[in-house]
Amino acid sequence: MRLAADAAHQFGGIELDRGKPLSFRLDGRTVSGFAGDTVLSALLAAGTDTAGSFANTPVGLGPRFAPLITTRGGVPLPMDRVPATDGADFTAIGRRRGLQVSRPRSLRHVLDDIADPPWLRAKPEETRTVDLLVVGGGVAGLAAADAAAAAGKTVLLAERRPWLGGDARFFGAVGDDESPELLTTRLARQLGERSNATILVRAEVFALSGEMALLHVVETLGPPNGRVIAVTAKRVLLATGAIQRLPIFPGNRQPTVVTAIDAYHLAKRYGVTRGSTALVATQSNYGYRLALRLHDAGVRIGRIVDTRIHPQSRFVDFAKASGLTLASGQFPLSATNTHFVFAPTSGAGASVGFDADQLIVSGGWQPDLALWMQAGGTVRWTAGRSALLAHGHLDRVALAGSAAGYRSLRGCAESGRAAAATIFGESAETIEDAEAGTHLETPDDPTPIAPAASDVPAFFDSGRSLAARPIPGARVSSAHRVHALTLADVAASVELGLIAPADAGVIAEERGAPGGYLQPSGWAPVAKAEVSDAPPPYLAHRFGDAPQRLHLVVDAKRQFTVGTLVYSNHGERDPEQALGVIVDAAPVGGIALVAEAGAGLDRFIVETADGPSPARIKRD
Amino acid sequence: MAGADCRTECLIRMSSTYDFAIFGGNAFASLVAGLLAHDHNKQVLLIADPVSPQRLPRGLDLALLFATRPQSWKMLQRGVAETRALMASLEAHDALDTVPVRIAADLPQTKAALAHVAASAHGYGQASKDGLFSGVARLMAPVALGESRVVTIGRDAATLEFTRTGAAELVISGEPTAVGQIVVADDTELLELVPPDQRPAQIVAQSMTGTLTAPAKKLPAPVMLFPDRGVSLQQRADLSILALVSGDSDVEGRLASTLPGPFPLQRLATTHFRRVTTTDGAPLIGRIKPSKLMVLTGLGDAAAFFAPLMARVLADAPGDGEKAWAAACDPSRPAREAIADLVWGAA
Repeated sequence: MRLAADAAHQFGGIELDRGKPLSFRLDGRTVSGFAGDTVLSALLAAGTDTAGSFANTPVGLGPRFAPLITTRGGVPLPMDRVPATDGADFTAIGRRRGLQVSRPRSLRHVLDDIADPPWLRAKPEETRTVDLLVVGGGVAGLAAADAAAAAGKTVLLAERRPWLGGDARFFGAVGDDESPELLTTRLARQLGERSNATILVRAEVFALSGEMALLHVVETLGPPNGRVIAVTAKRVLLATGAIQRLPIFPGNRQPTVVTAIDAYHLAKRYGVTRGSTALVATQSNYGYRLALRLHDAGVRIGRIVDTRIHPQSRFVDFAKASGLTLASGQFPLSATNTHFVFAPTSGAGASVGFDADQLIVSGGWQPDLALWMQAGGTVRWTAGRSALLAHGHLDRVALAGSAAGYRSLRGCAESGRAAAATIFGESAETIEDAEAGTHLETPDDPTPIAPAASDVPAFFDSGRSLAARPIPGARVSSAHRVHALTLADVAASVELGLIAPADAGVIAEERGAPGGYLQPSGWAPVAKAEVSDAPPPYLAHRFGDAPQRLHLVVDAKRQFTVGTLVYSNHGERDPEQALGVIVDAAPVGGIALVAEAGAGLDRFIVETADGPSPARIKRD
Repeated sequence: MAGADCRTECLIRMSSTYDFAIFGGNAFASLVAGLLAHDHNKQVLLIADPVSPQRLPRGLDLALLFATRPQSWKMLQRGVAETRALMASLEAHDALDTVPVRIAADLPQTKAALAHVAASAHGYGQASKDGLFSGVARLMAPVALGESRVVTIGRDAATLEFTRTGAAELVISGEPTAVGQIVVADDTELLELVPPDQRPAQIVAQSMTGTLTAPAKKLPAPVMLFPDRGVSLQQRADLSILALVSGDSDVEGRLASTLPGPFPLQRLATTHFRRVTTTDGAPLIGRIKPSKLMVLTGLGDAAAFFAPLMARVLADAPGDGEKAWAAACDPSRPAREAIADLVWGAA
């Protein structure tokens, strides 16, 4: 549903022009929206919230998990990057269930066999060359790109989302610092005015190796189209942000469950929420901040449930002052449609259930290091942060912002500027990453994990991998499925004890940067020129120091194959006791290498594949 | 057997003297440690991190040797029988299976060498025809020491320090620990623990790439080895293929040349690591100077099946012919031509 156009905190949708309604068709259904919507945001606003089913469980539609769409004669495109276009007729790509019975809000896709986007295998249509490629248009990326462009470098900044600013607004302003809105607007304006800088939004960098990066951009001038561009960059700065982890409990990808960061952006950018009532489950103070804003924007917050016991935070105080119901020391236990159950973290006491249109959940933050690993970077599990963090350094690739582990707005901006300098061998300012006032506040808890259950999947992450917690008693766990694991999947697996912490980095690198698709190859080995007539090393001293070459035959026809062992006529046929071996083919019989002691014999046994054969020395 | 994972109890036991401290997180090291402790009544410390099942395997644990020397095959087939009996006694029948393995030789020299391999293997009961070896024993899963007399500690807890004479000394949690013999039974550990200038001249650190593909067309045999292309393939039940490629040159081209398609074929996981081969193709078993470390390497994918033999050699209780075989593999022997074998790998 849509929030009111004038909802508090701009939760009416800052991307929308409500004066320009539009409609398009998707799979035959008519979807209404506004100029500024993406296909995805319009679908969600219209109540289509289900991508399809996986293991007979409905899976929600969201920015990190949505089928590709196409128009007649067009190319497949991601619906979260395609603008809603009046009159367009889209088709979602993928295998679908033909009969719709129970969920009119579903795209009805069968998700067990989800295909990769075709652009991962496409050849670039264009190559651009720059001094610096910045991946990510959040605060760190903008600051880095602006600093490098100001220093005279040619810069290309690629941002996957349709807008700049990253996730900074979710966290809000800190103390007297410049607000995220002002900071990102200022940086984007500065960068846009620099002639040596290019900004591409709706542009996802999906491959990085050496100096070459590949990006897929959705072009919106005219009918939406997708192109792959190769970027040759002397340096690459990764400001790819962090992914909010999904609390692990059965039903955690029901269409009615949404992560706090997705709920925030949908409301802030597009005025979309998944219903008029919400429960908020959090392990962080920012869950309260979001709940307060949604409450102010008109969403009825049933309660805020926190894993922490009696947390202290200014946001907690504001929530109390606003009359919101708070519960501490509880975690989400299960979700079934619009019924959500919570259990005490202490293990003592009964679980309680509540109904609401949606459950907004919070987990920890996993730096997005997929491209870092593709570039050859390594990662390590860091228990203190409950996350896989970058380890070591690369010569031409640097990290900045939350991808590099920074947490504060100031730290992210400064790390962007610092990385833009150090990556070109210049000195950089000191980075201050203190979060003002946080010493007075209860720190975040790790991502909540509910006990295992046997029926409904509990997914590790909200992305495409669909890795789920092993079902108790199952012989082969779903965690071992053949699919690409995300970093969040690996982090969840570590916390569940499925992956040893010491192995986590290696597994993340294995699964997170597997390389591109393999193409057919006609490679064939080339024989090396023979340099010697001497027996190969593996025959050295095998039949004494002075073996003889003998031509052995049994009759005028039969041939002995190379490798066949030669024994004396009366002795044990144990390979260790062999007198010799056939080393070369001959028109009849074979050429044997025979121990000196055997050269005086005139009768042999050759142990062929068909059984022992008598043999004698052929004398010309 | 996840080993008696060491916390308080093990720290108490740490004060005792170990007969053997074994570095290695692979099946071979685990089996050697377990057999030394249980069959030879030795005090054994295994230094290894647990291996997560999601991690790509670094080898195939296959009872197939690229070896022409009869002695090697004799020892291997003895080891296969013993390993099978061991798994049966542990009620772990599922840990072993048998699988047909096709070795696809491209070059004439390789075809000739393969014929010698097949003849030696045939002499000890390993049947083959036209490069297809039938009924080859294979370890199905990583070996983990469950309830065991072996004390296991994580890799981070142990380091080696070298005395003025160059002898290696085991240090656990900062404390020197008395050990009768330090054994390195894992290639990764060998390359990490033994400085290059102390490694035997026969040792070659070979780059390896492990890749898991998406489900592919069915291979002619579930395990395919391409010695001239430096590629080993193992097809899993879901038709995905685990590929191990040796060497650095044109890894993708060589790998793809062995795959059945359909192309383009997605890679699901890739890893890079190093393994040890030897310049003469023969196993390398013995103490090295000046560290006095005992190294067990060069046994290829078949290493796990040599564990019973190695345990007997280490416990100084060798069986028939084993002492001589192990002595011949000693890196300090002035001449190893008599055991030189096949040297295959990256093309």
